[in-house]
Amino acid sequence: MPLFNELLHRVAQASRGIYGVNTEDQVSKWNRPPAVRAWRAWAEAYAAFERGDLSEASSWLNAVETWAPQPAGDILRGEVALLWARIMNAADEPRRALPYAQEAWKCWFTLAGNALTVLAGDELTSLLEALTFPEHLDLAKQKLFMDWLGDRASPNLHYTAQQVFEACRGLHDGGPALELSEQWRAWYRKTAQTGGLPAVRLVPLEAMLVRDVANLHDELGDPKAALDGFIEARALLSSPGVNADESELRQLDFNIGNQQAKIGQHKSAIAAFERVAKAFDEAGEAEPAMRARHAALVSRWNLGESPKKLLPRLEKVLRGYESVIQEGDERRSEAAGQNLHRGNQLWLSLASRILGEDVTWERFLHQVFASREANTRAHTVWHEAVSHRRAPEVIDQISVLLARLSHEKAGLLVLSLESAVGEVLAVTLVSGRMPLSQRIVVERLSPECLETLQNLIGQRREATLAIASRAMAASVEPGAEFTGACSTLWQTLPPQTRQRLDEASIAYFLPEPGGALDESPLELVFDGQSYLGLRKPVVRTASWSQMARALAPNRTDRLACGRFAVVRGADMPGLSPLLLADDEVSAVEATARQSFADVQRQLEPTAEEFGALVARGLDVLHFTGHSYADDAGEYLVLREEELVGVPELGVRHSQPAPVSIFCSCLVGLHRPTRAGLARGIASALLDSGAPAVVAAMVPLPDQVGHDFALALHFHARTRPLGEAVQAARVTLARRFHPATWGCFALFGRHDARLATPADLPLARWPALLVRCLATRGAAWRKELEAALSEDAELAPLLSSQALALVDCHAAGECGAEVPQLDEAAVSSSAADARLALEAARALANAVCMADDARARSELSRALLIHEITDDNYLLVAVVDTAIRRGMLLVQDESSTRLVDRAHHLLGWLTRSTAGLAAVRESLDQVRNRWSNTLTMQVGELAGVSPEEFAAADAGDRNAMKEMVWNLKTREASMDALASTSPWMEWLYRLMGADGDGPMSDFCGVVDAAARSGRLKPAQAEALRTLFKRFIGPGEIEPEHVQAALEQFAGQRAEVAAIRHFQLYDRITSQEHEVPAAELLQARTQATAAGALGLAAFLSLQLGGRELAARNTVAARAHAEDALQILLALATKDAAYTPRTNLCAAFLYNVAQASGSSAFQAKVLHDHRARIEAYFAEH
Amino acid sequence: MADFLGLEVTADEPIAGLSAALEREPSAAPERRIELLTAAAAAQGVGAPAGRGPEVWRTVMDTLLRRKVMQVLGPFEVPTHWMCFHVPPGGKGQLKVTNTAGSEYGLKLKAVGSGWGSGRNLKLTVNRDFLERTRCLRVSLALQARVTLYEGGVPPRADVLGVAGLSIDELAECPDCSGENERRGAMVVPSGEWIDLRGDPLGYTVETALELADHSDLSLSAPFAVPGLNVQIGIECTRRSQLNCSTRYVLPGGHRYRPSTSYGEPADLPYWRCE
Repeated sequence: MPLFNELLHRVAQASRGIYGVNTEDQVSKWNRPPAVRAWRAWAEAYAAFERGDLSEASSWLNAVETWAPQPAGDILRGEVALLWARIMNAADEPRRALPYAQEAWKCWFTLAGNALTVLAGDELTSLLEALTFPEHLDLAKQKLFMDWLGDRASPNLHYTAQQVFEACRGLHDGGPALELSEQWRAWYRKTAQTGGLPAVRLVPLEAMLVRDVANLHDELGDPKAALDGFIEARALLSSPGVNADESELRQLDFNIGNQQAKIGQHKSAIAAFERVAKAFDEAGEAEPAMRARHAALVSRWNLGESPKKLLPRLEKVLRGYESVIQEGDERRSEAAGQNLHRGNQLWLSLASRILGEDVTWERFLHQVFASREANTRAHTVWHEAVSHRRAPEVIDQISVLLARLSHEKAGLLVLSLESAVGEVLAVTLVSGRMPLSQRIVVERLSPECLETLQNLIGQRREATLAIASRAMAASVEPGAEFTGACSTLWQTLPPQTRQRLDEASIAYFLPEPGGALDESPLELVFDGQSYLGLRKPVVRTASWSQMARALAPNRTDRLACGRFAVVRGADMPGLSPLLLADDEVSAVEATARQSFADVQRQLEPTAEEFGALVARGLDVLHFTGHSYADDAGEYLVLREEELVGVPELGVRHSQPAPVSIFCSCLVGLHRPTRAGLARGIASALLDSGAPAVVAAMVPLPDQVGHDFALALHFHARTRPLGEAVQAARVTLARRFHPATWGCFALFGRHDARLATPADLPLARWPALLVRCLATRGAAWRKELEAALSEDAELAPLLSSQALALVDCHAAGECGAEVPQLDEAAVSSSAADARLALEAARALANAVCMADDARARSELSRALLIHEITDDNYLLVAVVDTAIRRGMLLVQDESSTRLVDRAHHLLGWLTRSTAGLAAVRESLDQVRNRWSNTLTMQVGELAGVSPEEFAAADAGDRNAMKEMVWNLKTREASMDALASTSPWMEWLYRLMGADGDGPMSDFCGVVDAAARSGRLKPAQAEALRTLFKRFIGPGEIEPEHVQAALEQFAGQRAEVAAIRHFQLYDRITSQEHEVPAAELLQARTQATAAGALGLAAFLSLQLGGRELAARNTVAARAHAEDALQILLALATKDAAYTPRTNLCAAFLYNVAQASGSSAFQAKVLHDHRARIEAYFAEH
Repeated sequence: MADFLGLEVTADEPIAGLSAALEREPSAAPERRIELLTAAAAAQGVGAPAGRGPEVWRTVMDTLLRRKVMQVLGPFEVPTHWMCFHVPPGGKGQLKVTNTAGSEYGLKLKAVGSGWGSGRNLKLTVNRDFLERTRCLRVSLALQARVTLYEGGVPPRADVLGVAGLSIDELAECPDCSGENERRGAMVVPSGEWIDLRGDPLGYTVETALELADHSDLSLSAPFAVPGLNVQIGIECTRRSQLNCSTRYVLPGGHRYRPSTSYGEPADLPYWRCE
């Protein structure tokens, strides 16, 4: 078995399903050398990473650094660096990942060249002890080394290379990966020359490396180099004597076609795609076949085929991707997700040409939203609705956003720029209550417009760099080229987009993250009279869902706390000293003192101090200093080697993030994650509850940062931020070049303020209804009644029903009747109203329904509504209701998450602190109870889903057996995991030795063999099924045996073991008597196969038959045979002891039945201890 | 035209432009060149590159090395704003400016031209009576500057050669007093209490003696359009004052007046908001 990986798997399982234990604290107290504790911390980090908990993984890796001896050993350094690289790549932080990946590569490549040095040290012993403590596994160093070589060293070399490639893709810089591949290819060649490995084994490895490099070229936008690489890899795999994997060859054929398409050879590419799609189909590779068809559609579109014809075919492919993603296989999902993202761009190109005809406005808008939010169900949902011949009724975030926009101030415009295939669409959406077809306009940016946009972005960059470097004074007037670009961009905007922008009172701008679109300087377009950013508030939004969250009335509802912090980052060696930053800090502080009771200044804080400041809760954070962002990462410089970025700023605290103002460079930029979502510091803070963020989109000259800060704080004392930013731009425009004031962007809500006033305008009734529910009617009731009565469009009946639901939820008891809602009226309501009413009904049902399962389902429905509406009052109400209903008495994974989240969110809803007092008390009680209780969740321990656990609890035998299997695998012994014996030996041992240990060992060995690929998934599943049928009553059904035999067809030893197991099951189930002749034959076969334990078991069975027939002589012979075997086995393996004792007791029975006192005396003389042990146990 | 009435230059030292730093070691490696540039900028104490993000020195070095002179223009007189004296609407005002008693200078100025040009480190004494007048005054310190144009769209360089004197403009319509500044974005804040003469038809005279003693340097950036050419340069200055300003304002009756200043801009004499 792959020992180290299995032991790591066991570490991952160890803490699963157990609550109330602080593992880090436990490990820190281990009475073992620091190196052992450091290795255990790494193993825990590894386990956390594997289950997707990057935060816990990071925390454990920090513990490694504390505990590891200095200097750490090569292997630990390599493992830690590799894990950091994986964490950072998984977190979409390629810049942070690369140094770790390079360090890891250095470690593992060096070890690959000189692995024997590991034998001289004691790192492997420490690692083994860390993975097995407090148990102990004694293994020869040589064996340990060989296991490590196969389990860790060799795969890690490949994983490390993957991490370097991954980071390079993110950085858009192939240099380090290309250097690595050169180094590796040279090593392959050298190994081939020295005969270290035969060429037939090396060539496929080299081909895969060439393929990876070609993929990198493809992603870095060099299709010609990629094409050359794929052709070379294909040629290598086709070399004489190389036994190439056919699926690899098909994949390379696809890649070659893909690159041909990218260099414009569409006709030959289409032919290639069709051939490859067919080959993929024939091989049963559905997802790659879809990819080939998708690629062919892109080429067809580029050759001018009709959108009407192509769209249905494309949608079929996209639904296929969605289905692959739903299946949940991580690797296939990621590939399908990326292809879905690309396919959605083609969808936009096609659909935008047949809008209002084959594609409805609703469909288009929902898909635009879905594409930007990485929604992986949109095509399927829409298709299912249409194919059921009903109007699609999609209640999702965009429906809620549309409803909320309809109540926003007139003149609010949303402008989004969406990338399609070779073009950019401008989608504008206005507030108001007209039909959607009148609210939305979709136009295409002309090539001239795109060129001007690029030109203006370039000019702005150049101007700000010139100002920052003092090549140009900030106060100079812009040149004709700059102003010309600003005017031309306005003039070349699509006509309706331009008109709508002109008429808007506020513009929300949603450029796509990353690249030119994100930097689009909408604030600088010049309409002949003025710049747009000087005329009206422009608010940037990184995504549609961010906009929906910004408009969500119940996401945060916080009273100002009166705290304002100014943070000054350090001047850095090598970077220009910021001569005006200190003055800015003083001026901002002085202005803040006019409105805030507690103004703090933090100079050059550590990351920890900065984190603590934000976590404590602030109204406003003002940062002055250096910062940096590009398409591979972003950070604020607090002091030397103290940088914070999205991972640190995106942490959700029990207080929402403050309004944040960054007078530093580039913090307003966003970049796309691998899934296509927007990532950036501004978005991280908004996601963590910040009402608004102001940040620069370009490198910021010191003087401009200073003057903008003063102007912004001056204006924001009396105005909402949208207006304050606009006014600050106007102030700076008197003295500065437009590139300077135009570089600041506002994110979040246009009407956010530095300090939320106590007398905010009241929210609409759907929001108040949920607040009432969360506070159990203790707050907001009067306001709700007033708001309901003011809504002229609301049916009076619905109004009274809503209030009745509030009462029912607050005071209802289990079994009480729940007021009904007028279904027709609910269905015709706007999405926000409808969801609020449905949430009220779900919560009232959860309180009153007698059936626990139905009540739980109602709460799930309410949670789903929370996901759509971003209504944190609703989440609190759900958790409170679940506690009242007694559903959170026992801690488990999801309840821990929910309760912690609700507890955190109370700090986001401080305007209702009094109303939420009872809820807080109830949450505190649950958390206190949990903190004093050690909880073991059997379902989680047994590795089954809550549904499966519930089924087992309700008597479902299959579910129970699944749990038994999982529990058994956890209990497999170290020896089993360390063994190199095949699963048949463990199955024979199960039959020969009896007892729980051998069963657990067999289960553990089968799972481990499946994980390491020694068993195919279907083979492992067949063995699992056999075992599960074995532990139930009755015999294993023949079809299961047959299925298992088919999985191992042609493998004589495996087939024999399965047949023996079937016989063993027939014997032990006692459903039908097994003929003695069959037993005799089986014993002979078992003996021949070396399955001596089974042979002994069969002898015992034969002895039993003889004894029953009163043939004590024959019975004695069988018993003595069996005992002799078992005694020998038990000396080597204690698992055989119970059956040895049984056999001794049986022999004594035979002796008694024989009537021979000498025989009895001999048996007692030889086996008294065993006989007594047997009777003592039974 | 600028004049030297009441103005005397007591010290005038050159400040080398950044390109001079590179000329000292023409064959230095890039890293060394950057060291030379940062050291030179620190020594200048004015107009140093300052971005709040990625380092800009490489850009500075590359631009300095690649720029090729196309034309040298000038010298020109470039006014740099010093102060405004505001006369109350419909009233009169008088300003006298002298060095603070015992001070070594009235104005201390470091000025360099944009495009990493050279400059001057100056000390001046001031003793000038601007006499009684009915319109606001804008007083600038005019500097002599030479402009070098480069090929390929590289921003021009300005070298400050010295002082040209004081330049005085009487304003027909003062943007500060008229409120035009606030409409255009100035952050107007009161600098004193209302003087309410709405019930007094005769008016009131206010005399003040204001000491302008800066404790630190003010940073200023003055733009300048080269006459007849579509070329803009800037002068980057730091300035420190040790001055006494005696003012006399005659406020006509029937109105109320409030002295005001613009927040976030270099300190100046107040202007009058009249209601």
